[in-house]
Amino acid sequence: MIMETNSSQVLVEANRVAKQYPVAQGWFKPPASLYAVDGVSFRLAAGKTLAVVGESGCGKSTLARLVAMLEPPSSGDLKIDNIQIDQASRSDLKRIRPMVQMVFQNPYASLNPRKKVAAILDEPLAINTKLNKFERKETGLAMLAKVGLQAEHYSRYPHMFSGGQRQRIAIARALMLDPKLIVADEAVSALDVSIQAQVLNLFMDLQESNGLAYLFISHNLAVVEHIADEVMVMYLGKIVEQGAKRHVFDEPLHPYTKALLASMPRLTAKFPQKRSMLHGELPSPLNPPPGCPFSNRCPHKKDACSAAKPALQDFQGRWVACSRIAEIA
Amino acid sequence: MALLEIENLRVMFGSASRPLRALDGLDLCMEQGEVVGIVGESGSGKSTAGLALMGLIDYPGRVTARRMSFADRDLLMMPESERQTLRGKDIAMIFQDPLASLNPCFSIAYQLEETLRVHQAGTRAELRSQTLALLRLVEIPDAEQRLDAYPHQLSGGMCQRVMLAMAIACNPRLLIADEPTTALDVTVQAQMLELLTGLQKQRGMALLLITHDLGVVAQVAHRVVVMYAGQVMEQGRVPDIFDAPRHPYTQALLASLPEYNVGRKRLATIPGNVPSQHERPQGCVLHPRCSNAQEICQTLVPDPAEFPNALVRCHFPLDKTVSPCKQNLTA
Repeated sequence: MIMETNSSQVLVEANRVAKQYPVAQGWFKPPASLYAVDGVSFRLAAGKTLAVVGESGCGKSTLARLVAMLEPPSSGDLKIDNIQIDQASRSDLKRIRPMVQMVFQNPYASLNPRKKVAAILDEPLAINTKLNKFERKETGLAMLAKVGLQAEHYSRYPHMFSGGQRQRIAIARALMLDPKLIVADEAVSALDVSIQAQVLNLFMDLQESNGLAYLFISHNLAVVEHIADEVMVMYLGKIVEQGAKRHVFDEPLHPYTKALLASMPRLTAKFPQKRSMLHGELPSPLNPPPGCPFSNRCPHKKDACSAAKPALQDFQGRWVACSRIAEIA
Repeated sequence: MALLEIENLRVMFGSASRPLRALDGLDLCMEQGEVVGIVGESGSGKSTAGLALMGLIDYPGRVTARRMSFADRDLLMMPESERQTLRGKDIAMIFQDPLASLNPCFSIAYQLEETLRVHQAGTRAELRSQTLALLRLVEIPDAEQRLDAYPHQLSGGMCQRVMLAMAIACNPRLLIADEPTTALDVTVQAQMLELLTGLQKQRGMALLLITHDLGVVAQVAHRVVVMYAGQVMEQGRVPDIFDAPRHPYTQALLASLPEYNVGRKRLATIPGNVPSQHERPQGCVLHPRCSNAQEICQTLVPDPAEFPNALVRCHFPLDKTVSPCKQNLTA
């Protein structure tokens, strides 16, 4: 089930990780169970970028929350730095938590408006390190310089910054404890095009200088194509295709990946062009279609597709979940 | 005769002594059946332009123009009652967030019928059958069952289809679509764009598409207007502008897209931020961020200069032949 990575150090290893939420159906009915993430396996090596793409409701943000240890998985093994999260001791967890940090989508909501940048950057150090006040300020100022802000910004409030600058502050906050993994959940989606390029460059520079690994979640395929090493395509909580970026973008195998890439508005396309290959919308995860979750929208559907859930299989050096992949590829 | 003619449209907010120019001199001419895209970053005044065309700018906003006419009727001089009959009938608009623009307290059918009731007569049964036909036209599955649904029972994509049905209910000659696909997923966005362009062609509507997504404009529009900080930087035909922009801003904007940086690690960026309305710079609004800026740019606002099929507001427009965008894209 698990993708082989050549790199020596595996930072995150997930094996059939699932997250299930109970959903109330009414007063007298038992709650239904919703699988937001269903049997997801992957490895992320240190210093690499794994991008997760998919439509809204496919479970990419839940996966981010699991990896960031904001929520425990309902089943499956999640190892970070070779430590199994659900069996880890308190001291182990205290060691791992600073290694994984998160950057959120909306920098207008993710920074506390009542705290100055100084306090925002100071807090992680005050809680997790034994540095004194002056050393903490020094580290904070150095971090501001690193993310491209000036020393005078240190004593300002978040509302005094533009969106791009705020996202830089959020990134600086995530970097304060020298993490090994940044979970970026739609971190550039709320930014304008010219600012988005600045922040993406910052992400790539930091990866080079600090050896950061990214779990990069985005619905913007052009951004993913630029930044990722490996791409994971999710649909209704499951992985449908996973592989090296160049392979996935140049020659998508799974019908869903094909449709997703075909839907992407391209600048080179000539007008008019037939765009959509997909009909209908993502079905409710409470009531997924039987068998293959994609079967109700798939152009290659056969009766057998509704019979059994296709397993993720190795096909031409990639992982694809489609029972008819050998015929349609 | 053009369907829509706008010269020097300005929208100002704030006090008379300290006006905030949300939109500062838009010139636009649209023919019947033409698709024009307005692109720009946030705060560039693109949505304000759409609202001003609909006549939805309220006090304290002030709309002025040298000329603003729709089908040879002056939009600025006509009384509000006449404007009201035009709005929703000949000029219609769809907005970004479909769930916020539909009323959660009324059914889809009621809200669709309301548009028809205001602009035409008919019995209840006639209205209902027209509503049903509209829902079928925007390809909503099981339209009969969806008629009496409430907005919260539909997905975002379905709600946007309902919005589109409402907008085209009275056969408008001009449809203004303000970020119609921004809140949607890519696959649903593709469906929506196809539906929108299909209906536009079938009915010969003019479509004004307001978006920040350059890819959407490249695929759908015939002509594009590039805006920055309330001003039009450049306008022209889509192939010309995307292959070889004449304005440094358009060029830099395209160069900062990942699509134009294939094979390179770092993206080209535009330094700095979009200036807020309070701190618009003197001279050319772009000059603090422009790599080609010279002394004259700091003091003198450039006038739009005419090129074949294009208008460019810059003291030093780029030569079409040396623009590097195209090479990177094909590389």
